[in-house]
Order: sequence, then structure tokens, then C-alpha cells
Amino acid sequence: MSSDSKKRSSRREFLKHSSQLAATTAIAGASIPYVYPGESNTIKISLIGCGGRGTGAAANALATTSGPTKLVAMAEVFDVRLKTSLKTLEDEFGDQVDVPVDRRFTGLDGYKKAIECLGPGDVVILATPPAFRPIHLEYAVEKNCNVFMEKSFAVDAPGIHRVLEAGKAASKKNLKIAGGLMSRHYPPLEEAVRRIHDGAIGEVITCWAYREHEPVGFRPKDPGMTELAHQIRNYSNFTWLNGTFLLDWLIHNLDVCCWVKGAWPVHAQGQGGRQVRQEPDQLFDHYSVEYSFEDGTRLLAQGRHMTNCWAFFGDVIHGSTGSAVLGEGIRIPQLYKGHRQTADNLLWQHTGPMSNAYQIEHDRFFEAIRKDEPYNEAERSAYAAMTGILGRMAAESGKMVTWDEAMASKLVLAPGLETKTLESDPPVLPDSQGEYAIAKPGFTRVL
Amino acid sequence: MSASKHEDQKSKTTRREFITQSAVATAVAGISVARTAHVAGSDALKIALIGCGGRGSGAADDALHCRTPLKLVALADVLEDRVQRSLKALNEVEEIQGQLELPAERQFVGFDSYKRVMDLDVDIVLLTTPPAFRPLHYSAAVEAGKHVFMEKPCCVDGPGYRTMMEMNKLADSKGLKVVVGLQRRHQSSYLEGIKRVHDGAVGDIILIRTYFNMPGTGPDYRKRPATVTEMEWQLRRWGRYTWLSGDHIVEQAVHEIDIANWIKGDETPVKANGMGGRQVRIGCGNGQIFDHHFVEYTYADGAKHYAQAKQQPGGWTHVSDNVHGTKGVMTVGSGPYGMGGDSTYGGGEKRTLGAKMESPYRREHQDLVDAVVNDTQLNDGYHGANSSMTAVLGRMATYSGDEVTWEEATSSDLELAPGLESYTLATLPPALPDAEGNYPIAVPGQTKAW
Repeated sequence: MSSDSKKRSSRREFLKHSSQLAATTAIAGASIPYVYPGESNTIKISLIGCGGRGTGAAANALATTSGPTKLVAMAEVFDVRLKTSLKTLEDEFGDQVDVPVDRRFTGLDGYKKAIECLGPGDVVILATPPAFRPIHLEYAVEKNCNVFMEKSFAVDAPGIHRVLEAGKAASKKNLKIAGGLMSRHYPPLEEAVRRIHDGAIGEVITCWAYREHEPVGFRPKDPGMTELAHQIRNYSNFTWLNGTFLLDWLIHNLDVCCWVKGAWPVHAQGQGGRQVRQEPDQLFDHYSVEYSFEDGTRLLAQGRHMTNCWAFFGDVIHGSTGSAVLGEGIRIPQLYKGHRQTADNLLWQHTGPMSNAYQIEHDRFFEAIRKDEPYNEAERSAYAAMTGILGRMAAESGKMVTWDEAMASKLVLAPGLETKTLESDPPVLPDSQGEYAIAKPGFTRVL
Repeated sequence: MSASKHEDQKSKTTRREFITQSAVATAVAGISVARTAHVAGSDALKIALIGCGGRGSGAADDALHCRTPLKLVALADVLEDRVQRSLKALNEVEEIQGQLELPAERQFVGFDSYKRVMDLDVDIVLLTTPPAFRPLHYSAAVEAGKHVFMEKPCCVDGPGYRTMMEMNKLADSKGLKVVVGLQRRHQSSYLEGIKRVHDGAVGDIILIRTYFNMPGTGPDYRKRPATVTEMEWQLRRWGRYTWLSGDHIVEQAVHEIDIANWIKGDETPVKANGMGGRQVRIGCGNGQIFDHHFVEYTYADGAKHYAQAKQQPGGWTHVSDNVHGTKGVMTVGSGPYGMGGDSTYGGGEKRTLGAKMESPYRREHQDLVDAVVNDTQLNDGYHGANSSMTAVLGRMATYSGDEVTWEEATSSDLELAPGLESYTLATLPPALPDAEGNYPIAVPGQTKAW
């Protein structure tokens, strides 16, 4: 980022050469198409999953300035949500939104049709609940589309492997994959992490990741609604759909800690439970997980969804000479000397203009597509999600779980999801009291 | 106070001589002359046990294994069968038979049985009832001029803590010796390991990690039979009631929480936040306590202590104390005797103390008796109370879900068992079951915890 322009251009030239090399290889490989839309072609976009985040992602994509873009198709389980999303986007982007009725798709297989509206090198935005991500990503790559995928990227180890494989397939096809860990594209944070990597607070010894706030909502089942639709509408509340909030909500700050540390954890142990929450769903309302890195240093993660409790949202990093406060929830990253984060200990804090990481992640992604620069965040995204999954496995089982054990797990939370319709039974069903199975440490199988 | 143990022999002698001289000077002026003369003579020291459960009987047994002659002359407990069970257990230990002088008239039963013991001519009292009674019994012992061995924890709430600290000062002014059953303070491997930490082996301290993760038991739906009072039912299952035990983060994890404070030079944290709950060990038979706690303590210099306390079956069972500093990491102890090791970085040290170690459960009694006999300064009551209160602070954080400062916790007026001094077996305890037999359990965000 901050290297001078000469360096940058030479790096770019290098990348151009290597991608030409890739192109040559691709031509030689015959079956692998080499596609990129160039600087001036209109990139068509399909949005799969039209909730708040999906709509936001589509808006960010349409707001990129590296060349023309057009939203051409939308897929969403709930018709009403699709209409709301479409209206929002039409109001803001006018002609850039061209989604006639025959390119609006509902139902669980709508994603295929929306992807099929695109040509090679166009962009699919994947923003459904995380359970579906591997399925959708595979199909988008199969259809030679570039992909922006929201976090989280999978909810179990087999899903992670599918994301990793799809990521590799995308690289072979010279497709670009962006993962929605926007903190990685937040310039003030990039600057803070660069300073930490340059030694500003010494060797990183402890990372603390927090996301603590009010509980997530719950919408009771409407009359006539299928059980599967009900669970999807409350996707944050069912483990098979979002992998718990330790994964789906804490992933950013777990990922930032691993970025700062420059490593993924090797094992985890933790605990959690449901102490306050009464809603008929599967959520724990609190988690604490201790991750260990290869060198013996620790990442301590806390997630809590409770009312009227102490709440902090961010990361605190302790190095051998200082500390840092940064991450999702911290708009202005700060570095401190020593371990008391007080004004008189401040070493550095971001002072420049504020920026919107959600926009920047799309700007960079579209620019990479247009300039045909390598851009594939699939592996990093998958490992960040795996960190959350590992923590969930530890907290739900009450056991020490290694990264390798977790990665080798064959446990699929939603078997046969590809073939389900909204009328299918979901993987978890309520009992006669209308309550769902909740993880029981010491007994719940997680691997 | 523990620092004196690390001094070399020469300075130790000097220090001891100094204390002896100054103690003699005080003694001459004050009331402890007779006692000093008595214990220095050939008579065996007399000890009495207040609280005849498993730990109490074990503590008496350990004490009677001291090299110094001791006699156990009285037993006291709220419950008659506990006294008898303890008597039977002690009578079965062959090597202490000559040291038991426990006629029926010195087997005291009832809530006020501790007072009968204080009236006797005994040198040392062993206070091993459930922790709720500790401040009351300690106060009585100090008032009566007894040396004290007391089991951990020393208090379960803020008012109890303040009583303990006040009584510590009174004990000092009377020349009384106090040992708390935080036996790691009397364990050679910990003394050596923590000395190394204090000498800079890991550099400046950034993180202390402690665990007291035990298997515990599973769900329990037993209800009180009509034949016993609610008070008796709770006393017999005291670990499951917060007012009696302080919850297991206080009752059990205090060992590890004390190590963290010790590592930090006997500082106490300035604040704590944490979370916990009751996820597996459920049911009315399990009373009120959580089965898992995690607390993040912060010390004044920003150093952290991650304390985990769990009692759940089938999970990761682990007890250890670890310290990460700017130069490396050390596992000060793991397992009940602190013999294990851990991963290292930055040239950190992997500790493996293979040598046979003297039982710290016996050593702590020998240290007390030595201090009594030699009249050397020994009062574990300060770190005992501070670490117990640190654990209470942790429970306040997990029960409330809030961040709690040391200041708030120690100035709290919330008494878990008001009027404890006048309880009888007929008194209704402070935590009562609802119509289904379920006891009140903390709800973070709602519970007033301090």
C-alpha cells in the first residue's frame, strides 16, 4: 500500500507478466477459459442473498469507479426481501440496476438461475447465510464468474475444504475471489498492522478479541411458513446456518488478530453456554475461547450477546514493548507503549481521513478484475472461518481441539443441503415443546 | 513475607534472630509472654479442629504429622455425625494415635460449637468449615488469641473480606501466626518457580493463564427429603450454594487465582470482566452455582490474568499456572503438585521437577508450628483474604456480566448470608428453592452481584 509508485508499477508489471504466463498456460490447457472484462466493458453483477449485507455489497459494487457495472439478476429465498433490496438499489443507482421480473429468482435454487444470467468474467455477489456459501461458490466458479463472497464462508470443515478447492479452481481459471473480511481493506488498520509488523509494540504475545453486545433478534414463525424458511429467516440463531456468532460475528476480530500475529492457531479450548437467552433457537449467549499459536502465544476470544452487560467490540494486542487497540468496532486504531492504553502512553493513532472499508474492498476487487491482477482471498477467508469453527468446536465440546483435528472433521452440519427445497426438513427440528437441541459441552459431537 | 523464604541462610538467620528479639521485646510488654513460654517448653502444642468434613479431618491428620509434638484436643462441627465420622477417620490413622485426646466432653456440636473451642486452652485452631463461616470463626480465634490454620477460601463476599483484613492486623498485633490452606505457597516447586519469575526469568509479565478445570458431576435432580431442614440440606451440600462456598471459582480456583496475585508480587487486580454459566451441571440438586467461569483480570500495570474455572464432565480437564512475559513463558505448575510442563517460546523454560517433593499439605502445618515455636512472623491471612476476594471479584463479574473494579468489590455491602452468626439448623438459609425445588441462579445483566 504505502510503497512508492515506482515499486508499485514494477510490481504490477511483474504481475502482468505472470498473468500473461498464466494466460498462455490457460490457452495451452484448452478447457480452461481465460476471461477478464478489460477496463471499459460493463461488468454484470448477480446478487445472491438480498438481505441487508447483500444489498450493501451490491451497492458497493455498483459504486465502484473503475468501470461500468450493472446489476442484472437477483436471487433470494424470500420474495419480499428481494423486492425491498431491489427498490433500495434502484433508488440509489437508477439505470445501473436492470433486474426485470424474469431475472428475479426465489427459492433455494434461485442462485443457479441468477448465476446463469452472467457471462464469463462477470461478478457474483454471494451474501446468503454462510451454510450455502460453498455450494454457491462452487457453482459460480464452475460458470467462470468472479466472486465477491460475504463472510462467513462455511460453517463446518467439509465446507471449508470446498471453499479452498473452489478457490484453487478459480486461480486456475484466472478468476478473482474476494472475501468480505473488510477489515483487511481498512487503510487505517492496514497502517496499524504494518507498524506492528515493523516492531512498533515488539513481539506479539497476546491477542484479545471481543464482540459483545445486545442479543440478536428472533422472529416467530409465521402461519404457513415452512420450518426451513423459518430457520433461514432467523439464520443467526441456528448453528447449521451461520455456525454460531462466535464464527459469524466474531470472525472479523479473530481474523484481525491472526493477521496481526501472522499465523493461524494450532489448537483451541473454550467454553460457552446459554445463561440468559430464552428464545426457541440454538444460540449460546456467551463464548470464551483460548486459541494457541504454534509459538505458544495466545489469542483469547470473547463473544457475548446479552443485555445490560459489559460490552466491548474490538481487539487488544499486547506485544513485548507495547499494546494496540484495533479491529472491527475500532474506527481509529491506536498503538501504545506499555500495557495501559492511556492517552499519555499513546504511540500512534490514525489521524487521516476516515474511509469506508466496505467500499474499498469492492474498489480493489473490481480494479483487480479490470487490470487482471491476481486477486484471490479464498484461502485466507477459509482459514479465518476455520478459526471461528475451531472455536465453536472447542466451546461446544468443552474439549481441547487441534486445528488438524478440526480440518480433518467430516461432520457436515447440513447434509444434502444442495437438494433441499423450502419444503424439506432442516437438519434440526423442534421438539414437542417447540425447543431445539442446544450444544452440551462434554457430550456434543463436534468433530 | 514469603520473600523471607528465598533469602539465603545467612540473612534468614539474621532476620529470624531479629524477629525473635523484637517479639520477645513485644512479648515482655504484652500478653503473649505466657504463650511464648508455653510453646517453647516441652509440652506438645494443643490443636483443635473446627469443621469436621473431609478436608478438615485431612488437615488435622496432616497437622499431626508435624515433626513438632502436637495433640488434637477438640472437635467441633454443626452436625453430630460429622464429628463422629471425623473421629472415626482419625482413629484409623495408626501413627497419630498417641496424639488424639478427644473425650466426649470436647466433641462439640452445633453452630456455636466453635465458641466452645475458643474457650479451651488450645494453641492452634484449624478452621475448616464451609467458607461462609471463615470470617466469623477467624475473628473469634483472633479475639481468643489462638494461632490459626484456615482452609481456603477466606471469604465469600466484600464484608467478609473486610473482616478478614481487619482481623489480620489484630492477629499481627497479638503475635499470632496464621496459615491459609493455599498450600502452593508452602510448596517448594512453586516457591522456586515464582522466585525465578520474580527474578526476571520471563521478563515483564504480560499474561498469566490459570486453569482449574475439573470434571465435576453431571445433572442432579435430587430434592431435599422432608426429614432434614433446608439449612442442613444445604450445609451437607455446601459446595453447590453460593452463600456457603462462594461458587467453585472462589472455593476451588482460588488456588490458581492466588498464584496469579503471587506472581504479580501480591498485588490484586484493579478490575475484572468475565462470563460464565450453568450449561451441563444442571438440576435442583446442583444448587445455585455455575459450572463454568472465565475471567479476564487486569492489574494496575495493564498485565492480564486469564482465569478459567470449570466443573463439567467430559471436557478438557486441566489445572495449571502459566506466565507469559516479554522474554518467555513459564509453566509454574500444572497438576495438583505442579510437576508438568508446557510449550515455550522466546527461550522460555520448560519446567520438569521430577524429584520427590514434600507434601505441601503437611509442609504448611509444619511452617505454622515452626512459626509458633520460634515466634517468627507468619501471616498468610493477607494473601489469603486478597486472593479469596480476587476470586469473589471474578464471580461478581461472571454473575453480573459487568466489569467490576476491585474498589467496587471490596467496598460492597452485599452480604451473602446476613445474620450468619445467629443461624441454627432451623433458620431458613438465604437461598431458597422455588415451588419446583429450583434455586435462584445468577442471570448476567440482571443479577446484583456486589
